[in-house]
Amino acid sequence: MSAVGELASLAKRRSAGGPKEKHPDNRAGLAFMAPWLIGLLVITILPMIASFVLSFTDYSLIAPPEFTGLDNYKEMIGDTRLHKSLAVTFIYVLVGTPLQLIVALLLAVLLNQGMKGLSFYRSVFYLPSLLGGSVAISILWRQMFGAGGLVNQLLEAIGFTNLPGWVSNPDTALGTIILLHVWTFGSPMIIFLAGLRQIPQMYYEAAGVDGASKLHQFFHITIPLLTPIIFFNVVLQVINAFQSFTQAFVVSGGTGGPSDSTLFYTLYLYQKGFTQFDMGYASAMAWLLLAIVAIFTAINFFVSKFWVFYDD
Amino acid sequence: MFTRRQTIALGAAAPALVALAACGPNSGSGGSGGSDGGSGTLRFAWWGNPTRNENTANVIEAYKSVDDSVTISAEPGEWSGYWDKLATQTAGGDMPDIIQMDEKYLSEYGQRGALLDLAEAGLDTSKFAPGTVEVGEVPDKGLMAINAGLNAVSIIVNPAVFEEAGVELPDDSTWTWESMAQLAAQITEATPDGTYGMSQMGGVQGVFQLYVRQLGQDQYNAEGVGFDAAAATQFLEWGKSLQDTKACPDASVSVEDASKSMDQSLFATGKIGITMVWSNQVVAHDALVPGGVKVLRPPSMTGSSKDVQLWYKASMYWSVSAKTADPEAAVKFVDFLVNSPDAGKILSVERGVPGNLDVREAITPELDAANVMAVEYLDSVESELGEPPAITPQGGGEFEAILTRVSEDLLFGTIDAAAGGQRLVDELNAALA
Repeated sequence: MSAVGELASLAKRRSAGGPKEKHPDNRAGLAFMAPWLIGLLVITILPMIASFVLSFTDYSLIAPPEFTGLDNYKEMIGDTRLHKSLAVTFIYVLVGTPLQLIVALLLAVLLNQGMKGLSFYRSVFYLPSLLGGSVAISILWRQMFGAGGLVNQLLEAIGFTNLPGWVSNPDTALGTIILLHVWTFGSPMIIFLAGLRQIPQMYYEAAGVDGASKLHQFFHITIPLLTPIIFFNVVLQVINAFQSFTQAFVVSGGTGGPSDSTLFYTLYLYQKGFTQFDMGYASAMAWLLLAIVAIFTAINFFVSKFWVFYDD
Repeated sequence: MFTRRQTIALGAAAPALVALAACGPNSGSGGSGGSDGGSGTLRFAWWGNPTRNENTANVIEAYKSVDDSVTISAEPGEWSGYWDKLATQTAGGDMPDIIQMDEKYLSEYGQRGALLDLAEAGLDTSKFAPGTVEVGEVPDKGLMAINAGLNAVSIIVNPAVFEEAGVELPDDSTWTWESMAQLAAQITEATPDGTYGMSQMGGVQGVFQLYVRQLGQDQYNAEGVGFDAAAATQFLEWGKSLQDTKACPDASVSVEDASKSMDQSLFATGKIGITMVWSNQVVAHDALVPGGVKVLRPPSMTGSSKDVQLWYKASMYWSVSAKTADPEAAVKFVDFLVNSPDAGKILSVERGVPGNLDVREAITPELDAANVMAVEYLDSVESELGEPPAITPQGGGEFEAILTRVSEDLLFGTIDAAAGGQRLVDELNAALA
């Protein structure tokens, strides 16, 4: 089996080892891990603690922070732009993630048909994932979906008239960013592809002999055996989607407009911290986001009991 | 096929992959860390455009012959990233020594003690025109910034668009907000689709402020918000009427136009006849529009240019960090920037017309036609100026974003003008709190 299997068997062997050889191993292990441990401590844990403390302060960045207790958290209750940003983010996550995963799965199945030049296609389809979060692509998106952009030119060529500027209209702006998100299906696709490779061919052969159609095979063999991978991708992509920032920042020019229709939670957090000089409130928002993501992940794990099939 | 353990192992491995993927070309940042700031080096930050960056680099070069004991280390930037960076640097105790400052953020920094009192530090302001130094004073704190150049609200028109529509240029001493709108609607009517009489001014801060000043109010007064909901509503109704009469493009096109860079804007590409700019931007627009532009006074309510209620704004300022290692050297450099005719000749009027009258006199003969147009405009409105406005209070930097949001909601039809006017007052009040 793959690296995954090796990792598992390695873990088994390690736990079987006696306590005697523990000490030298540990020291060497720590030494090798030191760069990562220091990184974790200095650029993850310490800033997290700092932001937690700052979330109870009024901190303008320019003057020293002042302790204000729970004021920042209380202020959130009446903050209509915060509520708007939550709504926008939920729509983005709940619409964008399933669409992205469906596209990723379908393409993975297609690529898994034993076609020639697989590695080439795999790379090509992965490309958007590398580019999608970048500033350049977001700028390109803004141009393509503008009033006189490429998309409208194509639509005009096939006879549509009176086309809107997709990114500058509050009804469609979020849709274009969701589309950009769906387009970056590469990393879940690669993981699906690896998962598909693990399903033994004999199941399909047996089903084929029994007269099951390809569609049947897909729904009754592929999907059930792939559920752990689907689950894994759902968890990861939901977390990722909640943290999306670049696309909305660039497409809306940092405003979240038009009419706050692309005001992602992270974008509002950024505005609070860096353009409204309210880093205390922004820190509190970061912790609310953490809580929301944790709740979503917990729900995901709980629901997984009812649909994920493990082969053990 | 997958055991729980395997899935968890995958879970441990995959984020590392994702983290790798995130190390794309856009994740690098930071730039040159300014760890120096010790003796002999002053860090100098500004936002700008290619022309300004070149001028400013030349002025730094020229300073070497004035004082070769200090090195000025340049930190040019773009407007959009400038304030994030400055706020973060300030928080980290790493603020540049000399900073280009904007009126919107003067109180934010000045009120919180991040800036040096230039008057106390001995900066000579004796040659400045009356009223041009006070705009850098923050109550109880002193002279937090010195005017780097003056500008004013102005209207520019593209004569080629007027010609195409067969419409005469207006008389700017008698026109009103209504007559400007009607004129613009005529132009839209008489030109092909995609060409419009004017830009949507209903969400532009400078126009808003001028409009409420003509109603006897202002954006701010000594207590805070200086306008009432009725005045704001009247302004928003005017903006809405521009869209309804097709004097300007529809909401979607206007939103897109506002997000474009100057050279790609509808005005610069000859698709709009009338727009509002700050007078220091006249030169840049004149260079972009084939055939050039003409500068006009903004319209009034009464049809008399005596009632336009313009004011001189500091287009930008120079400030010195309160924590600079060498205040004397920093102030000396600022003194060179604002008081030396040599520096003035290099910087020209790109940052606005100098407030220092000696410098202004020294540079005027060397200006080209477009710059002369901007300087003459400022001179011509001097006798018609209204009261100088109150300085933007802490939190007021947010107003532009609030106005943009409210006007977008209005233009896309989600709220009416009355609700919008009330929201402008309420949201600005909340931002100032």
